[in-house]
Amino acid sequence: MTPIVTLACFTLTFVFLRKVLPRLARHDLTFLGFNFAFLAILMNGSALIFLTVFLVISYALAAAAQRWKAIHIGFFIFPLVLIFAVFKKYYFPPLQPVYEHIPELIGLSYVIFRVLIIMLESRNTGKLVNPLSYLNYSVSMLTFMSGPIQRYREFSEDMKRFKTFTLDKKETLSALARFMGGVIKVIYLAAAAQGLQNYFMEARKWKTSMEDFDFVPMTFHDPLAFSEVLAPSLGFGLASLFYLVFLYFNFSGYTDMAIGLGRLLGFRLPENFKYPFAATSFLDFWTRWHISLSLWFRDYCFTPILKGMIKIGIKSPVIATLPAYFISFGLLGLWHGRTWPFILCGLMFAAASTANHSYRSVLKRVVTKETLTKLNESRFYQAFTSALTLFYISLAITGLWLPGDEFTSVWHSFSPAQAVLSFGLVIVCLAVCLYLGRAMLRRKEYAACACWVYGTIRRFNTPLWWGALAGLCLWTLLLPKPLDDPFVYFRF
Amino acid sequence: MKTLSRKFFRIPLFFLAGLVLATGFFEMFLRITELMPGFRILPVAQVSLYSPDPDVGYSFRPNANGFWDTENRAYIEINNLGYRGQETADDGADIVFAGHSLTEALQVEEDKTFAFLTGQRLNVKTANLGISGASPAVVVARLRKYMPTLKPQLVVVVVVETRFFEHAAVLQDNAYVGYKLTADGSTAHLSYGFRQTRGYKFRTSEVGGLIYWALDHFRIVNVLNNTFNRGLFRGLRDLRAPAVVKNEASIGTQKSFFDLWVRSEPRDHRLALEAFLSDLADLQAQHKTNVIIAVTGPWEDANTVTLEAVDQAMRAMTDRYGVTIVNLTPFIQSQYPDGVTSVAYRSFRPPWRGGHLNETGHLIYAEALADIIERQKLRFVNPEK
Repeated sequence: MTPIVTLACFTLTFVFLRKVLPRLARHDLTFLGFNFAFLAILMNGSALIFLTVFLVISYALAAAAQRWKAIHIGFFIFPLVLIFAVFKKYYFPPLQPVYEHIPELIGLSYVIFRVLIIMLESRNTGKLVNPLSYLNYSVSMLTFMSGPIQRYREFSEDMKRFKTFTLDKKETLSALARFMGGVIKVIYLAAAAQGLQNYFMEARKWKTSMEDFDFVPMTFHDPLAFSEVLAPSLGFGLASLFYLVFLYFNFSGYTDMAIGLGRLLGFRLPENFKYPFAATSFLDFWTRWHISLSLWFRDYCFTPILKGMIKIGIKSPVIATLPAYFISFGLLGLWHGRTWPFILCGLMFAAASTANHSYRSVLKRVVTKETLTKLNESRFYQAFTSALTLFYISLAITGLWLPGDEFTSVWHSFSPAQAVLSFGLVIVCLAVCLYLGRAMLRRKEYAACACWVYGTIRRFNTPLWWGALAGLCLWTLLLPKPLDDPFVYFRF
Repeated sequence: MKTLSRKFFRIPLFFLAGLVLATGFFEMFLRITELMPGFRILPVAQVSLYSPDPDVGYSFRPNANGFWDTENRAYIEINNLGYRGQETADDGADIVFAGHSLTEALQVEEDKTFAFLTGQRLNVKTANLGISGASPAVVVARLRKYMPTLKPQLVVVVVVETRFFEHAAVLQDNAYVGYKLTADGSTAHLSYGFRQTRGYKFRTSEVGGLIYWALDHFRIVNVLNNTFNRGLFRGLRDLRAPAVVKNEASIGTQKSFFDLWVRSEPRDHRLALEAFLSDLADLQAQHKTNVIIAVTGPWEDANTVTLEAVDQAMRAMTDRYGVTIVNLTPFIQSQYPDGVTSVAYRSFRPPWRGGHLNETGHLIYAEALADIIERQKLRFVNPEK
């Protein structure tokens, strides 16, 4: 939690500076100074040097790509990705002795997207971004740690607005409300989901490990008495599902905080989440989850591959899109980590995207348009496909929370039959929950109630209310849990 | 004038009132969370359990209770005598367990600790005197304090890994009781230098008493205390220098363990070890009880030659001081014939690999200790109880 508190302190200092020294605050160099001061607090000296080296090399490659257009763009992208892989200590290339001398670099996984945007945009427009704007964009304190991945065009518009921006009362309230929403997500909701995840994981272990001991009946009195056969797989399935819920609250909470703080400075950071638990298919999920990342892959990976396939003479759109989906989602999975469970994750994403795409194509051919519309509108069907999608993704990202050795042992702790039975049970239960949840949300009374609560809160504007709000923020931030568990996406 | 009064008096006053209101609300929230099933998953205030103790340096505060939240969440109750236990423990115990945090086992509920499970298996009453960070001197001081009240027939000191003897505090007494070498450097004895330190004096002053009173009565004070103990900027520190997960079974640790027991090196630690064993032997004689020291080495992957050498050294110690020293490692290894990393029984979650015992670990230790105690053929009948 401390990095976000630091970011909040930097943002508020900037707001104050703009109030007292508006001319100084408007300058690009001042923003750059803030960005690097933030990095200096966040990273140790050697990490900062490595990051600077990466930024310099990237800028040089972007300049070269813009200058020598005759040379294929891959010639400039490849060395950049290779350096990134080395700096992030990927298992391939196998350079273990070198890795020992490289510090842990936070934020690099997001920086690479931004420098690639600069490289590709410079090449397309024929105009290289000036170094100051490049640095401000690449290491902007608002998006450095976990995104969202803002496009350069949007960022430059924000920088223009930033220079003339005046913070009014309405904007302040709206920004603080967004920030507080994020705090609540991270500290209470994410913690609750993680608590449930740990609970199910432990429940799974207790049962399996206690079987060998003759005095188990005396000590085992867990309230959730799983059936003996399904305990390991059911516990693991539920733990995986709650990890996805935890990840959503953790990551979207952080994004809310970053967006809220950005608003205080006049930045309009892109949204990263749009009700991902309402997704009815795998491809739909990625239009709702980590949207800025998905859009990046769509624009800079999927579309060029698709164009390439069409260029080499593949006429069928179905066949042309399959490799594009496979490569894009494979890379998306691999981006999340550097060990073999993430290769598996990438393969699972790739397989799901191609399967989803093929299923859609087949369905379009097999059933009539009316039947297809009817099927897509069916609430049972929607709940079932949602549950299937969410559970599949939960399993695919297991590598995020289970290290390599445990990953293997957990998957070996149950048979395929146990897995099918218990995972099926989880999917059915999840589908029922989603169906009932959506039915409830459709009712007008709930929506009206939520609006009333929000409206009432917004109407309060007294020192007493602000004092209470400050007190709640303070105590919430001091709770031990967030200090123990930093944001998951900081690791990337 | 009216505007000025509003600006400088009313607004800050109302703001302050808001802060107080929020504090009260938060205290209520923490209390309600603890009372409802929400305690399993919602944030809770980790209880501060310790207070100064003139005999040891630090001890559990009698009757303290609340949630422990590091590694795993468990509800902790300290009894009226100042050790882990729900009951009023004035009527003694058959077996007393002593040791450091592995025996203390704040990560699991009391009925899942090996101290409790061993008692359950043997059908005897046990008391858990384990305390976090205990050095050999702390163990002896705690036993000296509680033995007259508890009158146990057996004392089991559970010592995991060499850190217990290697700990810097072994030969320091500025934070809590420690062993000090005599002027000629030939032996070591218990020393209470901590009593003269400013920290101890402050904690035992009226202000210190007030803080401990607040810790006992307000969860919110526990939150503040934990924040200061962890450090306000811990999150940043972790990001700047990510914690390296250490392999507990490292060759270096094995070597130092081997050096201490077999080669008697380093000398000052060896003297502290001998003083510790001698003090335990004295306690054994004075209270007409039996003392077993159960040791596990940091070597799940150690070879047989090393294990045998340490076993021999321990047997030699047994003869010399008349206390029983047993090595638990072979028992743990026998539970995992295909080889095992400590993660299987000493971790709750991946970041804590090689940490404290999880529930499986407590079961394994309880099985091992119960077997060892049964082999001693003790009859737990005490006419005084």
